[in-house]
Amino acid sequence: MLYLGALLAVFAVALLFAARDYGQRAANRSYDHLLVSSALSIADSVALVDGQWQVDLPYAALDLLSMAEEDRVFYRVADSRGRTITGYEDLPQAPRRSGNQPQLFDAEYSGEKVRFVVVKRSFAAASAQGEVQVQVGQTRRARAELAQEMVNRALIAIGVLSALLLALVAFGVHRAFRPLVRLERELSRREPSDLKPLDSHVPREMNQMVAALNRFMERLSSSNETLRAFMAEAAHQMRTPLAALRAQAQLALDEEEPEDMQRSLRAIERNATHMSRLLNQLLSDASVIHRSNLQRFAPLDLVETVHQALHEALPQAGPAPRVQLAITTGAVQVNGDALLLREAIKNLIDNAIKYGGDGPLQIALTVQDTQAVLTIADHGPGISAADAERVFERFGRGENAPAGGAGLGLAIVKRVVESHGGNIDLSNRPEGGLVATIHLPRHAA
Amino acid sequence: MRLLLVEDNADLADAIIRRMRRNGHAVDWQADGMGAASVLRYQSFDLVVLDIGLPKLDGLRVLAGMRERGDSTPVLMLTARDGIEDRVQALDVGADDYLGKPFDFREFEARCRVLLRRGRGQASEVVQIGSFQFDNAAHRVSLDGEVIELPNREFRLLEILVGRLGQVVGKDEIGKGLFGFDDEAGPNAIELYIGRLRKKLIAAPLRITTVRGVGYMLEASDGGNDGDG
Repeated sequence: MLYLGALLAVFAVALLFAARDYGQRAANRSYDHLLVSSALSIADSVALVDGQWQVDLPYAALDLLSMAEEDRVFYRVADSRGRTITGYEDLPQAPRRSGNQPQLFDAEYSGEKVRFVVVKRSFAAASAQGEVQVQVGQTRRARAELAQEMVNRALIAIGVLSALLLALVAFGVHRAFRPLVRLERELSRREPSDLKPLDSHVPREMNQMVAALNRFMERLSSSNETLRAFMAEAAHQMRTPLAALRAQAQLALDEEEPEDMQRSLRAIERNATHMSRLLNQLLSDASVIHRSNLQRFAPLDLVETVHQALHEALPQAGPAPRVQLAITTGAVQVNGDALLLREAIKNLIDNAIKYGGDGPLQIALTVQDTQAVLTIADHGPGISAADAERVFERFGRGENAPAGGAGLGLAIVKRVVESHGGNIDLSNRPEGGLVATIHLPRHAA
Repeated sequence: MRLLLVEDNADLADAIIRRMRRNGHAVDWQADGMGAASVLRYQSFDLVVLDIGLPKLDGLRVLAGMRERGDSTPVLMLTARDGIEDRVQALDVGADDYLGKPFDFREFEARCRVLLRRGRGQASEVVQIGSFQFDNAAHRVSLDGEVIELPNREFRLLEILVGRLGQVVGKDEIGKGLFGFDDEAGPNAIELYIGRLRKKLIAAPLRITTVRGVGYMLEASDGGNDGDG
């Protein structure tokens, strides 16, 4: 509104200047006309009689000019030699100019700015020839007054119009914003956790905005729900190992035999490690979820990613499972986020180690046309058809999943793979065990 | 008393089992719902400690199965889920009590005691017979204020007999209450324990009567305690 007002003010001032200019010009033109017709009628009244100039001054001509009460009028009729025939002798001369048109000019006279006109008239009679110059002048007060009056009127008109315009605009804007105000009030009355769609009636122009707001709230609400479920599940997963930890600790305090105490301590260590792995997994899952929303992709070599993932997924301590790698020669270029792919592959390898039984872990990376194909296979119990779909849902665990699995990994893996334009599926191998197959589009180098 | 523990976390189960066995109870352990359900079909227990989150068959379904069969064994539900809805649901399905993980062992033991005592129809943990006092909560037996030391198995035997004061308790029943699947109890183990118990309670106003071919009975007497009645 302020901008609008300022803009209007600037416009009004410009208009004012235009009005003043117009007023002055109009006043000038009108009075100049009067001046010229006065001079012309005086010129008409000049006659050459017997070689003598005779002027029958038409007082009406001068009356015309005296309608401006505060102005003074001066006149002079002179011959071609500059001798005054009648009138004020000392009227200022016109600037030299040729031609017979009436000539208008401004000059100082008798202490004021005066507007003069000079009209030349030639006479040709039987006896003599000659030229007279009629000069009439009028002070500028009246025309200035006229100009001012016009400007004043214009000012009032502009002022009234501006005010009206402003009021109209203010009214219009206010009305337009009223549904917004209503919306704002409705939103501020809501509970912070209330993300239900808005249903206040809004003018058609605002439908799009309300729809966009509703969509946003829905996305936020579902994201909140996911986060809430994630945190509830995470807390839940931690409770049992924590209970074991606490129970074993309390027991150990009452034990007397060192052997029994050792046993409890080992159990404590086991569960603490499990919880720390769980925590790490959950943190990495959360950061993967966040990062996969950002989609910072760059060309990378999948072979290297697989090696890194394997290195990070194999347990540092304890027995290392046997791993058989079948990786194609040369680089396998893929466009993606190296960290995300590494985490996803790590997840699959981790699962294979945990649930894949005792046989060797088999990892293969090959190239088929435009796709890179990665398989991770184990010799475990495999998966039932019903589970094959369900395990990709967040927290969905297969029936045979032993205790302690976080159950979150596969949902993350699927999300990462799909955000890279690929797909993943699980199936049972004829020779026993589960194979996870990932297809990723190759990057045209 | 004979307890069945159904819990899939091995370390937690181990802690509970060791604790309860040290207290003299007989504890059997199942790590999944299916195993628990089948054991419950042919074996009776004094108390079932049941985790909800179990593989193969979850605790609530095991419990529902028990109640449908008319098995009214007291059940203490253990679980990592601690919301109000979860508690209400467990209690409605038929649990007698509910404990969230992680828990303090003292609370766990106290709640177990309550359920065992209810099973016996006892109002409190302390039974007073003349100058003889049996305090289950404090794990103490005393006569005229003086403590009588009892090893755990004997304490539990006394607990069983005190719970059925004035009634004959069959030898089989005693065996079921004292020994789990893994305990090696010889054919005369119970007689041995009864004998030892009698010796220790010689000065108490109690008498353990042998009912041949049936079992044993604990009853109040006016001083002095002799063998077979």
